[in-house]
Amino acid sequence: MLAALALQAGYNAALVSIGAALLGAAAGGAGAFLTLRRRALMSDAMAHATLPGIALGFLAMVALGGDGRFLPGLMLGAALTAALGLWSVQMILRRLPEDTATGAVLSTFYGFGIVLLTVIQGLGQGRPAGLETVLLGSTAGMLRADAIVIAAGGAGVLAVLWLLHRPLAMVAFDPVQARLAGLRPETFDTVLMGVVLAVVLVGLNVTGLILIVALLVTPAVTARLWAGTVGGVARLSALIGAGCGYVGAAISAGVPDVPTGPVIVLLASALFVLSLLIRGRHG
Amino acid sequence: MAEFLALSLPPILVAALAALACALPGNFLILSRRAMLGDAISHVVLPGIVAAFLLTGSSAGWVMGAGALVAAGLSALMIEAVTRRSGMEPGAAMAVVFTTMFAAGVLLLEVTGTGAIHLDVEHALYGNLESLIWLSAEGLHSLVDPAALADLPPQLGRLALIAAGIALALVVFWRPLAMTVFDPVFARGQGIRVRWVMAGLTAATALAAVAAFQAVGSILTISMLICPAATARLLTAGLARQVWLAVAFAVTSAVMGYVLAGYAPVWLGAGFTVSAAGMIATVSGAMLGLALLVTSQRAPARL
Amino acid sequence: MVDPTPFPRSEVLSVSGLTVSYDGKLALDGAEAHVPRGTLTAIVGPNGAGKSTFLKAVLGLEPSTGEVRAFGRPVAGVLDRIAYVPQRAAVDWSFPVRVFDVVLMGAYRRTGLLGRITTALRAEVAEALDRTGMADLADRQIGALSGGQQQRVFLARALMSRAELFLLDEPFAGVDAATEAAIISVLQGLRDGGATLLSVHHDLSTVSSYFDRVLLLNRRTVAEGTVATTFTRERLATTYGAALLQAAIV
Repeated sequence: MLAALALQAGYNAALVSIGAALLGAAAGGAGAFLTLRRRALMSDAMAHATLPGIALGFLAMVALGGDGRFLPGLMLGAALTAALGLWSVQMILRRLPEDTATGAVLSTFYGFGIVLLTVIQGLGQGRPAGLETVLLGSTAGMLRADAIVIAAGGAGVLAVLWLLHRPLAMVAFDPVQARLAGLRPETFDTVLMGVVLAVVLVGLNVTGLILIVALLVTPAVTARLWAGTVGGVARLSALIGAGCGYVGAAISAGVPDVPTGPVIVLLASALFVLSLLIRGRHG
Repeated sequence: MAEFLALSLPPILVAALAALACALPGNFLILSRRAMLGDAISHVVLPGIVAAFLLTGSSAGWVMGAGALVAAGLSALMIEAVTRRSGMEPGAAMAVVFTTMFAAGVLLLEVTGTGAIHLDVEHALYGNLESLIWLSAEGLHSLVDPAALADLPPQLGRLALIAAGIALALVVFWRPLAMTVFDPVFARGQGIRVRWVMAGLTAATALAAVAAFQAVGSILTISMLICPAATARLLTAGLARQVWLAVAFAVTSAVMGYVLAGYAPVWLGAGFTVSAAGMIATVSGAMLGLALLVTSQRAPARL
Repeated sequence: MVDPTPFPRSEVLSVSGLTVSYDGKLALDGAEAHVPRGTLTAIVGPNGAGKSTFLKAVLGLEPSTGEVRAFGRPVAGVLDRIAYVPQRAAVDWSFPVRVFDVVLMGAYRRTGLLGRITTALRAEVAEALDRTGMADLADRQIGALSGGQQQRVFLARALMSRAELFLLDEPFAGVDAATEAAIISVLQGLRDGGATLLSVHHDLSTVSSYFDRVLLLNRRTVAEGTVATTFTRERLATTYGAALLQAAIV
């Protein structure tokens, strides 16, 4: 395990550690703005809504004659249905409260995704074995190409956040004043959701779609217990996410049978509990 | 007929009862803006079951159920404590708590090798409705034969009992529950112990989620807690009517979903069936979508 | 400042026929206002008269019909010359921003996405805090402030926008006496410097000493003019209804 921490445990373990750290940084940064905008559970709905898209992407690629395992194709499908899920939440929000809209979309899209997964099993074409690893993630077979996708996605997310941190913070703090200052809150909410979607897609490989919400939310709320400014929260959150990703992947590489995603999540949770005990309100 | 009784009737009944048990508390969850509590609770059932198995070594239904209930109660307390001590929005607190417990459950499952003995994550997520069969059913006469009835899947009796219990509690505590979700401050002024009422609602939700989870998996549980009640909310303003409608929608989507999952692919010429739990969730979501379309001409509800 | 468009130089805000409805109920029914430059106007009226709605509709934050022009042009095109100080309850008080950061947000139109926070800008923030009596609290997290101090931070943020027209929604609601004195002196200072201000106001006993004009509103404009000519017992009786007026004064 110490060897894994020092990137000495082989090429693949090093690749996974670096990939998980980059994902953690991107998720931590995006999660900081997401929680400041009070949209934490939107990411849960979005993550679950990727499932039918992954299945549809697979089916489409099989129909075109492939084996269905081409990662960008699966991610494109995931992005489409996740966006459709978000749009559905927005539509339902006109009529029902936010928590109801989120829960309804989450469970319906996920249920439909599972129907499609059983369709894929029934058809028996392509190489569907292990497609359900998107539920809980799997870093064991991470390839150089996957690591590059994660690195590029993570860097893109961090760049967008750095470029737009001022308007994102203003919209989160006081949307009315932001509008009067010439910023359209809708535009920046869309940008924020796009950034979170990128994190979710990249995270499918590492933590899976059920636990990616932890990587977005837990480092951010931990950072908020310590930092007093938006910039401080975002930087600390990214740092915590990167640290948990790196250490978690190393532990997983060094100890047999320990899955990567859950370890990363539990590390972040432990930091949160510790921070809450030290910095939380008492009583 | 024997085949229907043996293979289809038990899962349809289980699905309908699970849907019913969830839809009842679901009405009050969405009215008190706690819909996502259903999401959180259904995710923490997995670690509860795993921990119960590891502690007792028993995989009996009631042991697992007790473990899941304890986990659900624990997570509700943790969400409240985290919300209070961190001052963060309840949604974020929920996300932190349920992902932590879910991750712990998965880790326990993998590390201890429990996965080998009939407990696996996919099972927990999709449920296993199709495996609930009644082998002693030989015809209609089996429905009145005590020996054959004793052989019904045990989930059926358990779910029936729990659904009846929740329905009874709802009737008894209707007034304080309705007043609390509508206006907690006023309810407190009327001498209602609001905290206890909400704790009772959480307990009923957990009970329904645990019972339904064993039969149909966690995702269907979330769907049944939220979708039928939300559909009913769109169609009526009266609370009692909303609850009745939600029950009707829940049972309808359970039956329709099961039938569609089992027969629709065959009708379409495919030689396989699809996930019944997933299809039930899809149908209840589609009903919500339909209700949104049908009522879209009305003025938006002021929330 | 020279305004290029032809328009009565002195009239900064002109509102006519402003109507807002919620679910078929009229919150505002053809309200009027004609506000000259360099004045401090109180918007006065009973609860539910649509005072806050009036400000929001003027700013385009509420869907409305009617005509609103500021500086002779549609409001949407001159928002950079208008500042709005909302009622206090609107934001998340646990948000991780310090007083300094909030006030700096008032200068967003100048700093943009990535513009540097210059020494001059920092000095301007310090001056805005000084004018509102908040200089000592620049590094406080906003949640750690009293209600009156929070209100002064929002006023300081409005000062940073270098606006010429200020719309304030009950700046004195629930604040301590020190804050009330600090705010009114800032408002009067802005007016003396040529700015135009409208403020929703509840306390009828201080209208004459704080303001120079008054707009009596009860879903429509009952009267508008200088305090001396308009703020009369008869007009107030029309605005509030005679019985309610007793209650409002007591």
